[in-house]
Amino acid sequence: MIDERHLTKLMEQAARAYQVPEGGPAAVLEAAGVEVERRPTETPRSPRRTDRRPRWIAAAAAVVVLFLGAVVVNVGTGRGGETMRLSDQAGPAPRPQGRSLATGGTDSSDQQFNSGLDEDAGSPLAPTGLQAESRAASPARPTSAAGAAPGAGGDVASAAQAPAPDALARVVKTATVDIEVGRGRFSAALDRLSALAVGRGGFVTQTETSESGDAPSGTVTLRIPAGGFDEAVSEVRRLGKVQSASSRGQDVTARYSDLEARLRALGATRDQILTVLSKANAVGDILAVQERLNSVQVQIEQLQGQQKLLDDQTTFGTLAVRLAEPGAGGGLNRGAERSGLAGAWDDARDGFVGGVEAIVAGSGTALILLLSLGALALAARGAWVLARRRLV
Amino acid sequence: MQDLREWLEEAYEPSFRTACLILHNRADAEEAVQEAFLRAWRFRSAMPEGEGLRPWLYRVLVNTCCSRLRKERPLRAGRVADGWEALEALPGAGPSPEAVAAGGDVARLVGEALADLPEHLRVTVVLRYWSGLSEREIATAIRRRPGTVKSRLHEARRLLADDPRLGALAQDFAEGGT
Repeated sequence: MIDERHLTKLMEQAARAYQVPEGGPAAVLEAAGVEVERRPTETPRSPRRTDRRPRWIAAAAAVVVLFLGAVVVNVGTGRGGETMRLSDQAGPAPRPQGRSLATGGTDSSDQQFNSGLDEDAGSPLAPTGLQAESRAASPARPTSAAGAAPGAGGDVASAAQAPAPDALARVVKTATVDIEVGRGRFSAALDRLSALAVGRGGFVTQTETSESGDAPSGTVTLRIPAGGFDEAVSEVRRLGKVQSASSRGQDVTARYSDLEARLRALGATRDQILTVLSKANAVGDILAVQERLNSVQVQIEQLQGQQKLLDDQTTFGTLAVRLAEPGAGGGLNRGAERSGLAGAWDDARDGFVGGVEAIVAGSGTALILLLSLGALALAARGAWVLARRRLV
Repeated sequence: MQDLREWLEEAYEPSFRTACLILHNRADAEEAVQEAFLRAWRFRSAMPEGEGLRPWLYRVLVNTCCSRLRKERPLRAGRVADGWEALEALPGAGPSPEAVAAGGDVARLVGEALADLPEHLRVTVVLRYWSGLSEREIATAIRRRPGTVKSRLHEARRLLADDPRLGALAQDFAEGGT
């Protein structure tokens, strides 16, 4: 058995051999400055997803919330309906600015961060440097669209430069609207959609049309700047008779912040490797460092790609509009029009509602509601206790 | 909680060295310490007062280091054959050349011996014999019972005693009496 005094001495020698980085504390301070600014209130929350923490409680809570939501929707719309019609609910109702926009299907971690961001939303903070940079670098695709949409009420420059509804939150907005237009007005409606997108600083990503008999129908997918997305949805709804509509906002601020942090850390690592590379003389050393450098560079580029994707998704909302004249292909909600994001969303929604319907039919709505509320309360309490106990 | 700047002045160096001994890599240790400080700072309102503070901080640091070890393990395992070890041996990865020169091979040998210990034993032995935590504090830091800490320390010391790299050092120590 090794002597404790000896072991302490050896350990100290080994530890002292590591040179403490001069810029280490400064780097922490710099990073903490961001953290402190973002979170002025010292509310202990669940750590980021990098933390090793049982997530089943949060997942269970999310499932229960989803389930409850589906039950409520199901009860509100009645069983046996072919589609979940939200035309009365998904209108241009003003969404509280700066609050959580995760109105459907967001994951639990996003929900957790929503609460924290809600606290931050009121603080007069500018975006971080990286955020500001990425916003400035966001694609300004519709630069040639100025004046292309008479009557659309959009100013391209102002649309592109207008701040997002919440300067801190990054929200991926998607919406689907099914509209029935009058006979002979399909083409005009398509043109108006294109003009609307361009006029608001957006663009058309996909157009699919089909004709059954003499009644055409089709799907148009628009990308609209997030700042004017809700207004665009409202405008689209005025094109005809709304058959159904849904909208969704997913807060990805937490994911974006994670990417920023990881990019910062990898950048620092790359700098250190470059320093090592400049000092290496032997060929074997240089090759080894070069390999590590390549690996880090690949990780950086992957993260930058993800960041750009999030930038794009949060800068432009996706609006899928299905248009049809009366009698087209058996209606708007049939398979012929289901394609792309809108189709996937419809499929998921139909499958989910169908499954919930089966459960509700067997067990009773009231019982389900009670059980769900009880489970939600238990899960929330458990999460709170765990968060207090295993904060880090 | 005192100001972050003061806290860093006081705690950065021992934390960094602790992370170095656990991770056996300066760059990883620097990242881990930064992450640990940020995490602790973010949750500073939940920091316990008094005696509980120190193990709490080490718990954050150890968790961060262990997370990094688990994350890096496949990468390290896959790269040993194609140059990772060479990189580890480069300046900047391990102890500085000056320090190695000053301390002879002791630092390197101890570092290697520690690196060969299982993670749970390495953490325990570093917290005890470098960071100077008591067994009870270690138990709080690693969320295990004091008895578990005691047995881990015993096992770690046994393994280190059997390590031939430390055998010679132990003999020198016994002969030198220092």
